[in-house]
Amino acid sequence: MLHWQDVRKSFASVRAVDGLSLSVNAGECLGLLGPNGAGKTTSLSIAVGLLVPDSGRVVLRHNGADHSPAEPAVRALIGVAPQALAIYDQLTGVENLRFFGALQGLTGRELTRRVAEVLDLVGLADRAAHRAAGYSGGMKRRLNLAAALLHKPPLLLLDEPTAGVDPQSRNAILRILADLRSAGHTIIYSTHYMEEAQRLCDRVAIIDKGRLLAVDHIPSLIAAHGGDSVVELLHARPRPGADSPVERITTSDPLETLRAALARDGRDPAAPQLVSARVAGPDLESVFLKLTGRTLRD
Amino acid sequence: MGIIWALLTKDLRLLVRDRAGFFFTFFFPLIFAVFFGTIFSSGGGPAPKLQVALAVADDSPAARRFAEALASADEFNLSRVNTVEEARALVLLRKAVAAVVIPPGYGAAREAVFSGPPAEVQVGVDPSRAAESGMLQGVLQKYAFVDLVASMRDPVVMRAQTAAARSALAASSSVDPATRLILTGLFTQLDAVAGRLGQPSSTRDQSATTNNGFTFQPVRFVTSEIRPLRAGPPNAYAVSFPQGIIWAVMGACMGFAVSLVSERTGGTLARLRVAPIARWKVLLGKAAGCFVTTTGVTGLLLGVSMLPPFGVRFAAPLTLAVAVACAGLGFTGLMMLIASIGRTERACSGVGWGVMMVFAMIGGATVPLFVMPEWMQRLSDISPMKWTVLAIEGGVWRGHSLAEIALPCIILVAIGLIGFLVGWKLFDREPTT
Repeated sequence: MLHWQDVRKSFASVRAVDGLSLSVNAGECLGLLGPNGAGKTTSLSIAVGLLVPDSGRVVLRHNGADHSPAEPAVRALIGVAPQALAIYDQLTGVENLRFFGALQGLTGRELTRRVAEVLDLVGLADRAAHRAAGYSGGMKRRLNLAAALLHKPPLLLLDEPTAGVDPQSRNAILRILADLRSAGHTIIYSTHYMEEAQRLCDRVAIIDKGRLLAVDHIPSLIAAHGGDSVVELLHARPRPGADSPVERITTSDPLETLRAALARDGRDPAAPQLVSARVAGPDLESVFLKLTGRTLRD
Repeated sequence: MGIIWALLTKDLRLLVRDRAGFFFTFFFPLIFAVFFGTIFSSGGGPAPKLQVALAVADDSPAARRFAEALASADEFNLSRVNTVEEARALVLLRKAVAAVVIPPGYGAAREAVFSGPPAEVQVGVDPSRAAESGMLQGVLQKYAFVDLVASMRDPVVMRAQTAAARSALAASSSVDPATRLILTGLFTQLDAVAGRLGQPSSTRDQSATTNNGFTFQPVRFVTSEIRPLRAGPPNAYAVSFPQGIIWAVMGACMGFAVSLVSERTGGTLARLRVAPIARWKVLLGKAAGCFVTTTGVTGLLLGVSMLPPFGVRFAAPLTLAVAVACAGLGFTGLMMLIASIGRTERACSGVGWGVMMVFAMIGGATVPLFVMPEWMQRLSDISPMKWTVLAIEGGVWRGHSLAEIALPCIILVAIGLIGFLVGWKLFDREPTT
């Protein structure tokens, strides 16, 4: 549905996006995963026409034709929730949404109905008449998201929509987005929270320093780049020659490794009693670590 | 239109809910206008000096002496000009209360102070400033007699005057014998007094005349009216309210400029830009909010100025309406320019108010333009506030026609257009991070 085609963008000497080629298919949720400064926001800004790429282009395919997101009519297909809280603090929730709905061409009863619907969807109906200045961070985030949903856009571009919110609001937002994905919306979800990407996204694109490092379904990414599992054994006391009662074994076959460890201890009457065993499989964090040499939080 | 209306109402709602901004846009200018209008209405302090234009068309010592006496007078601010026309022009332009002209023949007439027709001084006065004109004539009389007394203290001058008078008396055939006897005796005594450096003991009534053409009137002031091209402000509020309007439109302009920067830094501008509408509509919506606010607050202040305590009556309502609209356009453009200056609200506010305050001070928002020294009036040409004040005063009390406010209005509209174009560039400008 949306395609970045060899897109490059620099700010002075900083290359923010470096040859990005990426596609998101209709109905899927694509995660853009990368640390702060990776180029996620710049990539999204180019996708909605806020920035002009130095080279390359972004194409939105709709009804069999290619369009530039810079075309006003095409922008009606996109709902954007910017990373910044793009709402007016001095207006109430309803006033904010009525204004943004009017910008999307909604009027009269349709505008009133859609405002009520999205307020209900994001759980702000009871605070709708209050000014946004009095909202909590999580409520503002939900209002920010609601403004992107008013015109029922088939494509949603969400730039870190859970940044700085409490776990309760984060869960609420992720639940809303899961429902939207189920309803057939195409979602591009930018985040540096690995667990959110794992929970919500069908595919994940890992971006760092403006470059696309990998993009695939999450199991495939983990299988390809996640590395070995870690089997963690907790003994009643340190094994002979060890300093800690916790024994960690890196392995590509955790089940066989566990079986072998149990057999080893069974043959040795002096071996300490095994208290617990845990297998930690590779995840997106380890994929990112493998691809970039650093963690997402670095 | 719906989009622009949505943008406009949103901005007005935000303005009203920003209490500080609302105060500085609506109430501060009103307080300013009423406060300064009241101060200037109540008078107090020393009376200002009379502005008088003087043209000397006679090259005699007496004319020069009288001109010097006037020049050194405390009651005047004398502007010496070369021609009668220049002196009259200053009155026409309201730059002088009166044009005083010492005509050819003044010196000869002063020599024959005790005989022949009195010396004439022509005084052209602005009839709308009757009190000042009356005061002026009194002061002129005073200096005429001072000059007379001075000449009588000068034995040479006095003996010349009495000699001239005696000759004239001898040559006259129409003087009756009794008068001739009295006057001959008088002139003889005056001559004797002059010879002894005697001093006169009393002044003379300028209207005093003797019969048969022998007069004793040192100077006759021939007054005429010179109607200025324009009437002055009817009261101090007619001046202070246009000044208050400047503060109001400045407040509105700065409020919208800062809000535009806030939209950019806060991210709402990005949301506007990704909306499925032409960008010029978004820009027009922002500009419309500023225009409606500036013209609205101007209309409000003008409405208040008409209320009984202030009693301002507009000399040219159509001119005023056009001036208000042009001022609104100009300040909307200024808003766009200022919004493009700063990348943050603080930078925009600091730079914007700094520039605006200087423009306001030299542009007539603090001190009325017409009382500024000439060099400052020239300097004020760079201030948009000057053109706004001129255009609005043109409608409020100057009674200007549309043609007469064309220049200020063209300048204001040009500022508006330039600002809009710069704002357009700003709107399309990419963030740098």
